Amino acid sequence: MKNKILLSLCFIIGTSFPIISVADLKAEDAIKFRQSAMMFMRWNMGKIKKQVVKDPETYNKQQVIDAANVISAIANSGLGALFPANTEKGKGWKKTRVKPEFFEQPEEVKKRATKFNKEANKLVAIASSGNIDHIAKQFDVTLKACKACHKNFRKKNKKNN
Amino acid sequence: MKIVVWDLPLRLFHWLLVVSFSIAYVTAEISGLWLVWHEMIGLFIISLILFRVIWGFVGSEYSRFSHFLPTPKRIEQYYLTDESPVGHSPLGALSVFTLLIVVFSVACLGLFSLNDDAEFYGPFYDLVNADWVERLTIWHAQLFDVSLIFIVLHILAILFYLFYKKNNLIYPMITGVRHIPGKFRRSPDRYAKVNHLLTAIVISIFVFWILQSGFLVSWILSNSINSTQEINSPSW
Repeated sequence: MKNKILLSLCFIIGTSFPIISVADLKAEDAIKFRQSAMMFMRWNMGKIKKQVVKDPETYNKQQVIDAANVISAIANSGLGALFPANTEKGKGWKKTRVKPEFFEQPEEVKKRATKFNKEANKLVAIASSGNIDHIAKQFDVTLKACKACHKNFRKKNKKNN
Repeated sequence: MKIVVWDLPLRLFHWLLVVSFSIAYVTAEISGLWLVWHEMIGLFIISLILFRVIWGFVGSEYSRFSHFLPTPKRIEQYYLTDESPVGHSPLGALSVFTLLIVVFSVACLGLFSLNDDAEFYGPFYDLVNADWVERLTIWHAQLFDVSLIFIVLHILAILFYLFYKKNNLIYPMITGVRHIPGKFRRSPDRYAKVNHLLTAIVISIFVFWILQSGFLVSWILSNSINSTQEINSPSW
């Protein structure tokens, strides 16, 4: 009897394990992860904007470097993996705003995403220089790289929770 | 005979609005740090239209709303007699009011709007919750599209007058002067007064400063119970 239980337990564990290990990222989680990544980048973009553009008297070199590092780290974390094929529709924290075109034009997405990564990395380098004008200029370029992708591949914000 | 139909402040208002509206449009399209200018221009447009509203009460005769408010009597007079008004026709007046209201509303909605492409938001962003920010941002964009429609109609009407009715309305808006054929009923009985002009300008600049300094928002927030106290960032 004991053996039978043990055996079936082994069987259950043995068969379920592969299922767990090969299971893809859940669609809902993938959407949550990417929404969180965007939101967290927003917070850091906001810090740079405040200190470099809005109130330069609050400029703190280390904080701007930290913020730029976060943005570049998120950008380089392989965000592409958070857009699996089954997630053009669905809900994470809220409904996803990705457009179907995102999945239809992978080359174009790649081009723009790579461009954004490049600019985000450059922002880190320039943030270290401490030259506020240069940072502002590169920050502007980075923002435009954000928009370049959003413009084609993200739906306009609308009430969609 | 020649008369000055549009006084100088009114003409300046008109062309400044044309220029600033165009800049607002272009800066929003380019985005990035140009949004700093977009915000500034938006506040300028609000003050500019505020000036026009004050001028609509204390300006020279043809600038006054009371002179061209399209009342039933004026509409009747315009369409049943061949006597054409020196200032705005009833339909032109309607266009003026519509454009003023729509453009003013677009600018005011911008005060609450968020552009999450560039983490940019209007000075009143902190006054409403995220749900409302989302809603007002959409309205800001949608009402802008509506304003473009009215601007196109405005320009088409002027072209219609220019080519079909052979009446150049652009020239008077630049020089202020209009040629009135035949006898002219009366000269403007109210001229623009310098002290009225100065008062209107001072009020508009004051409002611009209030909006731009963020003074109003911090005052409202400091008086609200829900206000989150400004805390120093912890070192971690």
